[in-house]
Amino acid sequence: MTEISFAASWRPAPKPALSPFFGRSIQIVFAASALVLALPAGAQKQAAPVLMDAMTAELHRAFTSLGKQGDDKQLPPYFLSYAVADASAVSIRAQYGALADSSVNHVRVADVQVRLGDPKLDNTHGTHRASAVTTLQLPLTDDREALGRTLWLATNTGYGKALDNFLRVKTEAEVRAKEEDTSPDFSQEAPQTYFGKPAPLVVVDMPAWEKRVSALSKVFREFPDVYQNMVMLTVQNETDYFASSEGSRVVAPHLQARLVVFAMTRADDGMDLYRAQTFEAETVDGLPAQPELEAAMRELGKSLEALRKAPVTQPFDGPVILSGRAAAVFFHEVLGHRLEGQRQRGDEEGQTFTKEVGKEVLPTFLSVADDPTATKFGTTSLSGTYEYDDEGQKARRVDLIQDGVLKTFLMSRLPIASFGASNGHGRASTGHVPTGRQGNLIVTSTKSVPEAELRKQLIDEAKKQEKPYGLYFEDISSGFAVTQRSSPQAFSVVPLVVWRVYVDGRPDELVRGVSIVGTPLAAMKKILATGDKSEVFNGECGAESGTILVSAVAPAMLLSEMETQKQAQGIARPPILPIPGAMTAAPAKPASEKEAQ
Amino acid sequence: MNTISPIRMLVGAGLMIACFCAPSLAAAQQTRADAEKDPVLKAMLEELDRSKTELQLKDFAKPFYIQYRIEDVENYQTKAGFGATEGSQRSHERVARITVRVGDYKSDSSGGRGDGALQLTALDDDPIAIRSALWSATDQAYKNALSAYAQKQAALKEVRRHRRQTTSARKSPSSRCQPRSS
Repeated sequence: MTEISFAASWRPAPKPALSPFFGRSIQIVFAASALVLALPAGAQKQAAPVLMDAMTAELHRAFTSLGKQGDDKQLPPYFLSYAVADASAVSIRAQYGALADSSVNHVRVADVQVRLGDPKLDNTHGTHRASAVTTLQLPLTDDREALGRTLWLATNTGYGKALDNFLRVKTEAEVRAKEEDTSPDFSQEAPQTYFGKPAPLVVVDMPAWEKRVSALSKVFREFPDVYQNMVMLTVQNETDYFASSEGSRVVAPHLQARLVVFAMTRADDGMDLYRAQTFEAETVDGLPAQPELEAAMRELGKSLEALRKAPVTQPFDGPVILSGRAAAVFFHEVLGHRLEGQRQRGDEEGQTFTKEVGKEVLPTFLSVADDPTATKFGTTSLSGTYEYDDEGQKARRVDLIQDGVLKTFLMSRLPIASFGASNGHGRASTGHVPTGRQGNLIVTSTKSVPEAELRKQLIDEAKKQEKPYGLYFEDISSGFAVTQRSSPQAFSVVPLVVWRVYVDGRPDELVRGVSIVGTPLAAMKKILATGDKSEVFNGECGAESGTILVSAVAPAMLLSEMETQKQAQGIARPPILPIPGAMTAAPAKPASEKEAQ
Repeated sequence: MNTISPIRMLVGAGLMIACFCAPSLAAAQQTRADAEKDPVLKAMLEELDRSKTELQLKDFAKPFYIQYRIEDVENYQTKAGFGATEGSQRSHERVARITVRVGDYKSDSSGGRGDGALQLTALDDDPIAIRSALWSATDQAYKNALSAYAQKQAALKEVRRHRRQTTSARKSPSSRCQPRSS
């Protein structure tokens, strides 16, 4: 079973071995030669860096000689590409109010892609998709010989792997029944050329930021019931180099600074409750000022203390409002993943929307686009922004659903029966073959009302259904979707902050322990109206082609019906002794005494 | 053939303290003042004292043995291939390892290797942060120990024992403080 997860990500960055920091890496790519004239003049004037020269030279040598020399000629590759992610990063992490980790790193990783056979049937067919990529770490210096030799080694390994897999693909094609979708394995695309200015190495005032990050973590000492907290700053300047045997040459920089906060408490009944928040900017100087960040920490702390005292809600089936952030996660999971091109082919995929192109899949007042070219929504930076995708296609806005009608899918260079070309959404982290993925998923509405009116409509709907209350989902942490046939075609998202909105005018009541569950087609058709303000959820998204940064933007939504279930919860007690910092503030009783009360 | 050759340098300093909830503890206290000159050891001792006197789940046994060990590790690694550097990594972390035992020296909660809990702790000697990490891991280790002890007792009741071996050896506490490596 494959689960696709989407989270604000509080995980510490994996140490870069072959995968550069933070589990992500947008390697990237090229620009169609036809588009070169449209590029900014400055970008075209950049000289090709030494790394790109070395890549081009070795790629040419490999492509013109592999399988074409000697007596025992093997099959030559029909496609070869080198994608190099050159990432310089800083990571600073604090917990319990003090510095826990601080590191600076710089790494270059090459993904070599080798394809044998022809675009109709190659070594990546079906379950052999991963056989296309071989990954190796590259020298950091501009030493042409060392760069060339490393690429030579990776290419040689990749070629052997491709030969082996192509033989298996051909055998399997002979013995299996005809496939439902007989699309080719690789789409024809125009080569692209773009030389952006390589990103500089990250420069961060480490002592100052170590103090700032520690100070933010220290705010949680004001909240003795917040048992764990983690504040992490990651700043990454990455340049993605791409060269292919089709003639593509792309140098695309990508800068991002990200502050992630995670805090956790545990209710007396053992339920773990947490809140996470992220702040994004292109550079570290663009992050909010310290007082603003400290205020945000304080809000999270207050929220957790309130949550642990909130009652556990019972399973519910009735009207709900999803806040903009909650609706954004909901759309990412419920709709976005099912609109990924590769999910429309393959024997194991559920193919929820495969035959729905041109049909109404959402209420007609809703439209959905994915726009990786957007860098901001209002004043909020979007995480899913990129210039070129990981297969060298120029990023572009794709209108997936217009006025409720499904128009297209998120396409990589893996064709499907209904669409044969990429639309700039082939994405992957280092070491993976790109597939159609989301960038910045943006939901818009023509039936929007002020939030106060939306709330009134919620109460009216609850009255109509004779329910004592409706639910308001203020914040959602993450979720997952299952798209394969072997499991139910379901999704689940984990709400963090949920309120009961009573029909009799009682004040709203905070509740905990809810999770939303359902099937996608049923859920989407129950949207009645939306709010008039959109919110952004920036997070990490994990799926078959690795972990990538994404955003989702949506307005608040009123649904006539949504089913919730009790959230799975731990059964461990809260800590027995009070957290050390708490004792200086107010001597707390040991929990063993609390238990007795 | 690739010629990647890793070079690894590891500088480590370990701090370890343990409490034996037994009368022989008096011998260790002679040098406690020395130990408390080190901010990390001081924080460890304070949290250990608190755990020793207060950590108990109602109607369950108190721990009879608690051990804190903090390893302060600086790591530097560099790598080269085909005559050119592929970069270097430097890291510094403090790993706290906590062992909690319930029962007694004859039969306690310990099982195979890996009992206890781990936590990363503060690099900057902040006593509250160091103690918070120890507190969190101690709580977890104690609850695990209670559970393991109950299971062990149940399992022991099902077998007939001819000979009983002690699971922990009683040792006198010792104290030794050396300057940290820089």
